Amino acid sequence: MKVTVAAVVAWTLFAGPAHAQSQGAPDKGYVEAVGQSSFGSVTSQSFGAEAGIAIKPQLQVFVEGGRTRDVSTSALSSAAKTIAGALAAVAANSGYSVKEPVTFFDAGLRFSFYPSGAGKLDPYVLAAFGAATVKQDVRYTVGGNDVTSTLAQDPYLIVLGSDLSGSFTKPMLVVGGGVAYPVWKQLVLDFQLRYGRVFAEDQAINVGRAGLGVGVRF
Amino acid sequence: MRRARLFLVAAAASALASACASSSPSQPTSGGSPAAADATASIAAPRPAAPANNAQVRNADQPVTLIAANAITTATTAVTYMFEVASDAGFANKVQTWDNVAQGGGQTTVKLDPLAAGRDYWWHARASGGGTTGVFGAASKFTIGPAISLGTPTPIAPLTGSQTGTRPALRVSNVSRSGPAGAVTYRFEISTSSAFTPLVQVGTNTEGINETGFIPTTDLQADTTFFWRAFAQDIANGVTSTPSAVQSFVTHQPSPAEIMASQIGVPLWPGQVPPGATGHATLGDNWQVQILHHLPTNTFFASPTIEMIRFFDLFDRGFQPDPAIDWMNTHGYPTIAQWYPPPEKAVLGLQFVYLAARNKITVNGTWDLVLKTE
Repeated sequence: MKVTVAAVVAWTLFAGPAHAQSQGAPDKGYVEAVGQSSFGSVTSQSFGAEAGIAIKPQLQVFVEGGRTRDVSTSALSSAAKTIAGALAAVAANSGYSVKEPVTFFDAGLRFSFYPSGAGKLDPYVLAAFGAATVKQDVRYTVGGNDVTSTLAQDPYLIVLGSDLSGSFTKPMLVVGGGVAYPVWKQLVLDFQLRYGRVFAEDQAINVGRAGLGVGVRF
Repeated sequence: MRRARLFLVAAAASALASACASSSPSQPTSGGSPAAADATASIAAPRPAAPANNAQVRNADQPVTLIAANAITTATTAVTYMFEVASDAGFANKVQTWDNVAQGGGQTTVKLDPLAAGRDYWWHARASGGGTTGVFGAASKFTIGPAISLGTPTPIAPLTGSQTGTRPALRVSNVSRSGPAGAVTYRFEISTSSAFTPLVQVGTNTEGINETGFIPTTDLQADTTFFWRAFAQDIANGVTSTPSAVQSFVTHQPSPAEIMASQIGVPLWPGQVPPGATGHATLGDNWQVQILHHLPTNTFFASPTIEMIRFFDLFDRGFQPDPAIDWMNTHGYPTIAQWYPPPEKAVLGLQFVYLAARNKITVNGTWDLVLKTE
């Protein structure tokens, strides 16, 4: 995953400064930073970057990478609560928290409804396939102190399985669309809507993202 | 631009390559990789429920059953348990291990094999399920009490073939014992069946000197064969001996004549025994054992004599006086008795006394013993 993120950064650097384009000239590519709200079992935030390059007048290959802060599933929350009950039986003032951040990277095709330079608004749809690394960040506390790393010791005697700890990487499918709007020279605002599905073993994770990208066309 | 395209294609390929699943659990588990199978479960160790920590278990109460409150787990598959019993708190010296014990409802139990007596033991349990083996729960200690054994009581009386009254004294010799036995009591069982079902009477008595006995608190049925046996018991330590050898006896309710004959030490009917059941006559006055003085002959004699007693027994069996005299004379018990019938009298004359029918009633009557004056 680190390799793929690094690839995005490198690509951005290699792309160099965007060439000035006059209105109406076809775009060769774009790069943008993205901020989104995410929707699934819980509501959270997502941040990332996206870049694409035209392979045909209305078709672009794009890649995106990002991180959604929390996509906790009901299965994870339920399992965490079960073990919290066991902890409460042996320790007063116990508590727990559940977060499930996802780091993802995908690549796909983006299709614009109109040729570049045909108008101000650039509506598009896209589909991509990639991978997501899901971290199960379940923390247990006793008296306000994090005891997650010592749960297996006396007096807690709890072993967390991979259902409540660690991370896993699974395939991810992304579909979505949006409208790009050039606001000044090469500067573009990209109003986005994305739906992602992480194919986890126990329970697939669905994440919707809606947000804004700010980038440049070249 | 060409370089940028190449790199974008490479990045896309990288995205596809990284789509191959992998996982990295933060804690080691014994199960397989979650990427290859479902995620492994989380398990909170089972907690000991019984015996309570520091419990004293009587040796006689073995085998011990360990009970653990079920582990709390996220496993959706079958959960099994391992129980370990050790002779030290650190479980360096395990004496019994029970693995793959199926989870019970709320609690999981395992019945141990007998443990050596007079020692301390520690036990704990752990659960496995959903690809995870949990850690052992808290250790709990219990102590098996000392080994105590009691010998078998030996019957003294009544022994098989005995005839007894309806409240015979059952007696056994005290038992031997090994180990630090507590107070020993004896349990006596009486039954009409040699299998001791049902029990007619059961009694418990504290240990006596050299021997211990028990007398039934109510009359046993007369003329009935009974079986009895005894156990020695150390109640405090839960130890019971093997039962004594079974003995039997026949109860017999002695008639008044039998009692008097016994009192003077003479067999009532050493030869032939008259027919009929007793219960047809009542002892009147002066039948107590005593020395009487026959004034006319200045003779002192022990009363009643066996002849007097035999006549009363015949009356008690429903004989009338004349037939009684005849039966005596014809069955080896010669007599000079003379019957003086009503209405003038109703007395049987013997050497120094009369047996007088009170109110001259000879059938189911009361018989007084009256000293002769002539």
